Amino acid sequence: MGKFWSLLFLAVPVLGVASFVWGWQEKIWLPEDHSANGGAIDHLFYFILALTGVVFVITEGAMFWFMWRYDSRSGKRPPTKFVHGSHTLEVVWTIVPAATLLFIAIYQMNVWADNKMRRPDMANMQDPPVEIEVTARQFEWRFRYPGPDKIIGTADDLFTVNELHVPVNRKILIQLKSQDVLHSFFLPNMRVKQDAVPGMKQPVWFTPTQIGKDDLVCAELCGWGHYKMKGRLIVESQADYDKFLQSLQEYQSATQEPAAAQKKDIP
Amino acid sequence: MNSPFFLIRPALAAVSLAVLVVCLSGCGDAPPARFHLNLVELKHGGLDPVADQRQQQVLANTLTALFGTPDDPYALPETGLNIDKLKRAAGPVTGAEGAKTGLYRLHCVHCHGISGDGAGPTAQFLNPYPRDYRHGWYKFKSTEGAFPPTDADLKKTLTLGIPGTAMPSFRLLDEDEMDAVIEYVKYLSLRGETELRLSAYLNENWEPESGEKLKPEQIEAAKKKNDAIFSLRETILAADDSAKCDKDWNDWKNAEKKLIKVLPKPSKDQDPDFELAKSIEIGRKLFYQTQSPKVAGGGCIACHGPSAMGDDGAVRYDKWQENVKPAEDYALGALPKRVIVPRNIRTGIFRGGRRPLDLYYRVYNGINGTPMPDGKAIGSPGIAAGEKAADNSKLIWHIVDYISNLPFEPESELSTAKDGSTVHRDNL
Amino acid sequence: MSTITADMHGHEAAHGHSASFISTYVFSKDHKIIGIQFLFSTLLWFFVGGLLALGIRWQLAYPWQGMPIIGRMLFSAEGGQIAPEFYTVLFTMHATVMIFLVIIPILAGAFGNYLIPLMIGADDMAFPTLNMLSYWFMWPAFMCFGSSFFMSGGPPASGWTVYPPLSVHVGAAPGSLNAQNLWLLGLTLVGISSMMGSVNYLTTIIQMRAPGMTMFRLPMTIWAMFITAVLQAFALPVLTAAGFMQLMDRTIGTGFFLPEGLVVNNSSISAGGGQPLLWQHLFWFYSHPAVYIMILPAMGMVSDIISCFARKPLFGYKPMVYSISGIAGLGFVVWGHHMFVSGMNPALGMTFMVSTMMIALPSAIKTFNWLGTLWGGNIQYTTPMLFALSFVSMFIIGGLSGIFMAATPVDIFIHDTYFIVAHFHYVLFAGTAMGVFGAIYFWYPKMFGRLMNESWGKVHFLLTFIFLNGTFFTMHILGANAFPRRLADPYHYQTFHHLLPLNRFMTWCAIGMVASQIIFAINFVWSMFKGPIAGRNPWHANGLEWMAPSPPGHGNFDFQPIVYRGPYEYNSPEVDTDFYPQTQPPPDTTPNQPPKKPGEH
Repeated sequence: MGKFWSLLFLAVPVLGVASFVWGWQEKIWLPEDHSANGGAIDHLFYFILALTGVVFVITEGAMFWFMWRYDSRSGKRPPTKFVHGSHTLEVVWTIVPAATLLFIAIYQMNVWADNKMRRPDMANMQDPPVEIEVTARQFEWRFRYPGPDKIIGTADDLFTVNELHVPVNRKILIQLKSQDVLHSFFLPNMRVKQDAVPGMKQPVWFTPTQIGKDDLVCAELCGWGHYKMKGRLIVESQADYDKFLQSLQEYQSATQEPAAAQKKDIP
Repeated sequence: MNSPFFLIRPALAAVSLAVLVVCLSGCGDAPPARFHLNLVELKHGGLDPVADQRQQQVLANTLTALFGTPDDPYALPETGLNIDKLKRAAGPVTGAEGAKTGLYRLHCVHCHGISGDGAGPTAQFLNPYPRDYRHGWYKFKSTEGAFPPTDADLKKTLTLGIPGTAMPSFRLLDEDEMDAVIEYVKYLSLRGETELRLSAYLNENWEPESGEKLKPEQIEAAKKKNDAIFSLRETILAADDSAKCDKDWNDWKNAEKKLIKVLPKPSKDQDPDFELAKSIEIGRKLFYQTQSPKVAGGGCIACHGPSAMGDDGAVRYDKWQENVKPAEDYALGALPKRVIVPRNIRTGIFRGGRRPLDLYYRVYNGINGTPMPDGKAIGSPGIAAGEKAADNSKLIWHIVDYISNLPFEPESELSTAKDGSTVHRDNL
Repeated sequence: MSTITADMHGHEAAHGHSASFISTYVFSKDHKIIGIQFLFSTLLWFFVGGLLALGIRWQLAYPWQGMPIIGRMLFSAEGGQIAPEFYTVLFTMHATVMIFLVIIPILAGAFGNYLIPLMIGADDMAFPTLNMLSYWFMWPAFMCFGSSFFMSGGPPASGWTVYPPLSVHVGAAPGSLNAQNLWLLGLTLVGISSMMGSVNYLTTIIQMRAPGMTMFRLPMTIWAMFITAVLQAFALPVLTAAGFMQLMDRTIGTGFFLPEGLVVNNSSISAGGGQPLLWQHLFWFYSHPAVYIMILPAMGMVSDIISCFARKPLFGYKPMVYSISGIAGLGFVVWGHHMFVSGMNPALGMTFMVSTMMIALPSAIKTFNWLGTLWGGNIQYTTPMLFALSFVSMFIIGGLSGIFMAATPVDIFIHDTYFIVAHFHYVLFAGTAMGVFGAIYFWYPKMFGRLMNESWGKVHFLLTFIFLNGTFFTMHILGANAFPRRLADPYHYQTFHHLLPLNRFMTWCAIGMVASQIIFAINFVWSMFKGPIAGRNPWHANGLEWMAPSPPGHGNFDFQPIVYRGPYEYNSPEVDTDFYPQTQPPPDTTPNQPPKKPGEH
């Protein structure tokens, strides 16, 4: 039976790698990256995947080989070794993984800093980030855009809910807040995730590069309706974005119901 | 342990497992969903819902004949409801892979309950309670008085949610999904109103069975009378006033015709003298005034308090709860009574919407079902009858300007309500 | 030696006369009975936790469809479908039960209790009464968690991590109304039980080793239990304190974890000035070391099993000991890696990232040493060995997937997705639970005097192994798709719509996995009465416990064990047999002359 069990354990790396390849082939894989900042994260993911993949196959393969070769029923089994270890080997397999891990640790720092520490400069006159305030609450996302005065927190602010419009190819700076419990602002296609903590204001930034609609997911348990806290990120051209703000402005200052013929959807 | 039979055993095990799993999964079908009767109202009508089960049976059967079941809804053409849309929204949730049905149970039932009674499993934890559709009372709408809302009103509530309550936004539903849900909400309202009419009718016409005291033919006659209800279409449409449900039905059909007429807001375009600051100032006076020689004010201060933070502390209930009697009605499914607190206007959270238009509706029409009265009496004294409406409208617009600006007053930055809690304007 | 033996017999007889059934089997102070009590209780809870897991899986495969059996057994909301809050209950209580009522007590409580005195050659624990209490304090905890299912408002539903304000504010979740208080009390009681256990284990291991049993002759199991006890002793007070803080926030209106201006469910609270992140720091300060509490003992037991059935000394015994100790140190400075996207200062995140990368190292060393043990061995494929081997194989997966999370930028993407779920199930189920199964098959003959059925054991192994990989490996792919945890209906989102078939596959694997445990349950009970008589040392192992009768009587050994060597001297050239028990005197020394006497008792 030793051969059977060895093969069963061999199936682990074989099927494991195969299932990843299958997922990749069938596009049951990372959601498409629609951002300028996501590439670096994906690159790191694949880098670690390759590294761990190699280690995975080697260790599982070695395990299979030992199981196959040193099966007590196997006729070709060499005599049992009476060894308590090997100092050299221990040193090697301490130093090599340590160096590798340290390398990964240092290698990724820059990406982390880009995503969480190097906040876009509001004073950058060339390409100022688009600032939007996001307030999470049970169980919806509320968005607040600066009005004509370009400052958030004044009487002319514009409000929407669940549909976040952003212009393409601009740096978006989200001021993330929560009104009640913890939520998490997760844009899978932008590779962005940040918990919203009541009492704190978290900056989140990303640069969408593709026009279209993506999901905005709440990724931190926020109560029984967690699953229905679904938002949508709508990336549009600068012109469309301006148009959207304009229609929001019109809607929000309405003093009359529009005539039936001009009825539009609520922006 | 390594006998040649080794591989037979896993096979045996797998088979027995499969049998077990199939057995276990086959016996779990849930019972079909049912509407609950409005026992609280039945009791308020004067009947004992616990002692007299037969009356409930008649009522339930009648309603089923008129409106079907949660899995298979039905509506008479006279109701004006679209059955295809109802079917889309009703029933158990299906279609995770494709077109969804059972939308009401997917999105609404946890709070609003299967009968639309606003008492779903989650309801008791929410503040304010979810809407009970069964009276046909709606708060945030563009129609006059207590008239039902228009489809557009319901759609707005679904799209934007109700800030400051547990009602979230459902704007990501598809257009047709949204329509189906709206139709179903109206269906639940119509059904609930019809139920109230019917139970009132039953209360008036019911012959209680008292066994020996009644002669057999009397019982027969009583039964016949109730069977007439059971057969019901004609009875409902032709009955005397108490059961005349088509009045409610027509109200719903005619909601669009009862829109509040809004006169244009004074603005710079119209009136070169108009200044926002001035308008706000007038609004402030109206807000705090009840009566003065010059003008009949809004008197908003009476409830919203001198701070406009809704902390006058008076005990008031909304219309859904004011008649609920603790304990005995709780046993019949009523939610525990809860005091309704006037809004703290300084938070900047406007439940019915933040547009000037929305605020106008609230002030002009009051909030249906709550102690918030309408503002139709606001006006200058001695004004000609023909100009009353224009004057009233103008003054309300001033109040709207004041209210819109309230959250941005410096003192609203961090406002402390009476219970000691603080509310950041930031928490919009 | 003969006099000592006679004394021991007399001692045992004296106890035997005075002992009633209650004091022997119920309120017993005998570490073996207590261990077996822990084992039975935790296995029962294991079943409950498994059913809850099936509830989760059912909803993910057939969202909002009537749930067979479990839906009926517990609750069914309006319209015959589960309510979304019930889904949150399912995963909250699944994790709670599995972590606090199964894994931690089965490792430390069941095996720690049973094995420590036997393996170090002591006649019982240092504090038998404390030991008994450590078991009986589990019962109020069982009551708390059990009765929390029936509180008004429903069972706890804020996740096993009970993050405030969701867990603290009564209006935030239905389960936060009442049940959360019971949950926190239950947690405290489990903590008290663990604390009593760990004090006892530390004292016993330090003070009560048999003559000749030096620290570096301890089996890996004991080393692991020792380090586990250290971790418990230092980390638990923090959790207990944090739990009480949360309890006070909930009951007497303090505001440790609640910020100012909080509006939940349209009601605001008067307390304020607290910080939700504080709870996360305190919670993970315990719960990260707890992750090692949940795996180290299994690692120890697996090392013993592998060495025994490879018939070869454990490769690199001392590096193994050092790496376990290294985990104990590093384990206290990595908690922040649960909080990379929580709003914690990102610079702090970077620090935690480096320490987290480093803690992967001891695990790597251990894995290589297990492989080294297999190399050149004489591998016997018994059921316990298969489970132990699968532990190693699965732990490789669980360990490697951990590196993805340690890499902070990647964690931004995979945090709170099924990638994490895959990772900790590979560590905790495919790792620890498989290790525990191996340990049960291995020490069962010692506990009950009979062997478990080998063939059915292998069937159990085969099915569990296949189904667990079917269930958990697929989760990596879900995670790569950013499929989030804890969503009652993820198919609301377009992004996750295509993952339904994969989830159905996993659900059926999970059902198969739980069903396979029925084989184990039957084997477990049946063998107790009908299994072949084991004798003292059925596996020809070296450890002290195998020198005692099966099952050992009160006082454990019918002779005074004296230890001459480490526990892994298989195939030693000094003797003709392929095993060389720790108590067997070397050929060239005279008996009764132990080489050293460290810790006489």
